[in-house]
Amino acid sequence: MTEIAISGVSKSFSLGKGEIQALADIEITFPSGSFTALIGPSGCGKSTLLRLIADVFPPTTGSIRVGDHGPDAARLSHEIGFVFQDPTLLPWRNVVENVRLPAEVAKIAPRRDPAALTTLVGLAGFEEARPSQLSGGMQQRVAIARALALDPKVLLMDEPFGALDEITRQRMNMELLRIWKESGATAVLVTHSISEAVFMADTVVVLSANPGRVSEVISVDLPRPRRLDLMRDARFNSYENKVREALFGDDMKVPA
Amino acid sequence: MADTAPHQADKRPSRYAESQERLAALGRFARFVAVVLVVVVVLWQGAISLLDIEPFVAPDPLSVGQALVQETDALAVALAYTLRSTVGGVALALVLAVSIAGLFTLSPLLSRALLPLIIMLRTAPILAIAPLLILIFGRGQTTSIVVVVIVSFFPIMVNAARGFASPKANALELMHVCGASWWQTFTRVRVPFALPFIFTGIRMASAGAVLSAMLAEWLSGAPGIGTLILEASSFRKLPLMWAGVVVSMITATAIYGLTVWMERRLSR
Ligand SMILES: Nc1ncnc2c1ncn2[C@@H]1O[C@H](COP(=O)(O)OP(=O)(O)O)[C@@H](O)[C@H]1O
Ligand SMILES: [Mg+2]
Repeated sequence: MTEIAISGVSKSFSLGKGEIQALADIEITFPSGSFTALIGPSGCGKSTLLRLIADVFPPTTGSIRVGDHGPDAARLSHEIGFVFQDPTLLPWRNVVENVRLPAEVAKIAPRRDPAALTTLVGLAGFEEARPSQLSGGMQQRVAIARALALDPKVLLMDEPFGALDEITRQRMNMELLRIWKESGATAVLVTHSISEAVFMADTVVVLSANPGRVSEVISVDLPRPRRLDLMRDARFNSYENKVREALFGDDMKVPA
Repeated sequence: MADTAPHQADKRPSRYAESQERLAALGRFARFVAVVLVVVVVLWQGAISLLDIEPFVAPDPLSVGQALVQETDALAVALAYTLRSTVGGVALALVLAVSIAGLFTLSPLLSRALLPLIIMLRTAPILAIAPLLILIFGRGQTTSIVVVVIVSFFPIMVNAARGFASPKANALELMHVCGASWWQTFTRVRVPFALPFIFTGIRMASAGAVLSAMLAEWLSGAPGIGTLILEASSFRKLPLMWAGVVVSMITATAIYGLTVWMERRLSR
C-alpha cells in the first residue's frame, strides 16, 4: 500500500543572494490508491510539491514518506510515474521505444508490456510512429503510457492536459480515470481547472501563494465511476463552488 | 479515440524519387563547379595576357595544368600527408572537445576552472607557441596534428557544450525520476540532442583545418602540401607552387562541403 505522507514540509530556493520560499508548513496525507487534485494560483508551489514527492530535490525542512520509505528509495525502486505538462518524448524514438525508456534505464523488464500500454492509452496501430507524427493529445497519451511502464505505485501529473483543447481534455480525463482505477496507483494531479479537479478527485487540495500553503482540503463525495452527466448534478456544482470560494475567498462572498 | 488526426506522415517522396532527386542535385552541383572552373581559368588567362604578367610573377593556367600532370606523384604524396594531419587532428580534437564538454555537464565548477585555461590556449597565436610545440613533438606529423587539434578544439567544444545543455529541464528530470545515472542521461538524452550541434562544430573547425595543417608544415618543415608549396616557391618553380595551391584549395573546399553535407543529413 502506498500512502504519501507529507509532514511539516517547507521548500526554499536560493535566488541570487536572496531566498524564495516556495512552500511552507505543508501537512497532507494522500491515502493509498486515492486520487487527489492540487489547485492554486500559479507560482504557489504545485510543481514544487510534485517534485519533492518525486525526489527531484529534497525538502528544506520536514519529511516526506512514500509508502514505507523516503522519496529517494521510492524513486530508485521505480515506484514513481511522472507526467509533465509537455509530453517530453525523445523525438528519435518511436512510440513503443519511448514507452520502453523507463524499463531500459532501470535495466529491468518492463513491468507492463509497452505494446499493451500503447493500446491501453488508445494508440494501437501507432506503435512505430515518431512523436513528430502525432498530435499533441496523442503525444500526451504516450507520456502517460510511459509513466505507467513500470507499474508505478504513485502517479504524479503536472497539468498533463493543460495544453490540450477542452474537448480532447475531457476525453483524456475520462480515460485517465479508467487507467488509474485499473492501475491502483495513488494519483496526484495538478490542475488549473476547478471542474477538472472536482470531476477527477476524491480530494481537492487548494493551495495559496507566497509562500505556498494548504488553504483548504475538500473531500469530493461523488460516486465512481465518474461520468460526464455528473457535471449537471447539483452536488457537483456545489463542490465547484466550494473550491472557488477557497480559491477566491472574500471576492466570492455575496455583498451585504 | 480519434481526438485529433495525426500530422500527415506519408507525404514523403518514394525511395526512387528521392534518389533521382539526389542525382539531379549532384548533376547541378557538378555543372556549377565546371562553370566556376572555366570562369576562373578564363579570367586567370585573361589577366595574364591583358596585364602582361611575367611567368616568374604568376604562371598561366596551362603551365600550372602541366605541373599538375607532371608532378602528380609528388603532389599526391604531399597531399596524403597533409590530409592525415588534418583528419587526425580534427578527429582527436573531436574526441577531446566532446569529452571535456561532457565533463562540464558533470560539474559547473569544473567548467569554471577549465574554461579560462582553454580560452587562453585559444587566444595564443600558433606562430608564438610553434617553437615550443616543435620542441615537444618534433618536426614530424605529431606537431601538425597538435596544431590542427589546437585550432579545431574550440569551435567543437563550444558547440558540443551548447548541445549538451540543449535538452529541456523536463527531459533531464524525466531521466532522474526514472532513476537514471549521469551516464545514462548523458548517452540517452544529452548526446542525441547534441549531435547536430557537434556537427556544426566539426563544420566550423574543418573550414580552417587544412590551412592549420599547412601552417604547421611551414613552421616545422614536415613533408606535406604546405612544405611543397614553400619549397616550390623558393626554387622558383611557380607552376608547381600554384599547382599545390590549387590542390590544397580544392581539398579544403571538398572537406568543408563534406561536413556541410553531413550536418544537413543529420539535422533533417
Ligand atoms: N528550481 C527552482 N529554482 C528557483 N526557484 C524555483 C524553482 N522551482 C520553482 N521555483 C519558484 O518556486 C515558486 C513555486 O513554483 P512552482 O512550484 O513551479 O509553482 P506552480 O507549479 O504552482 O506554478 C515560484 O516562485 C518559482 O519561481
Ligand atoms: Mg507548475
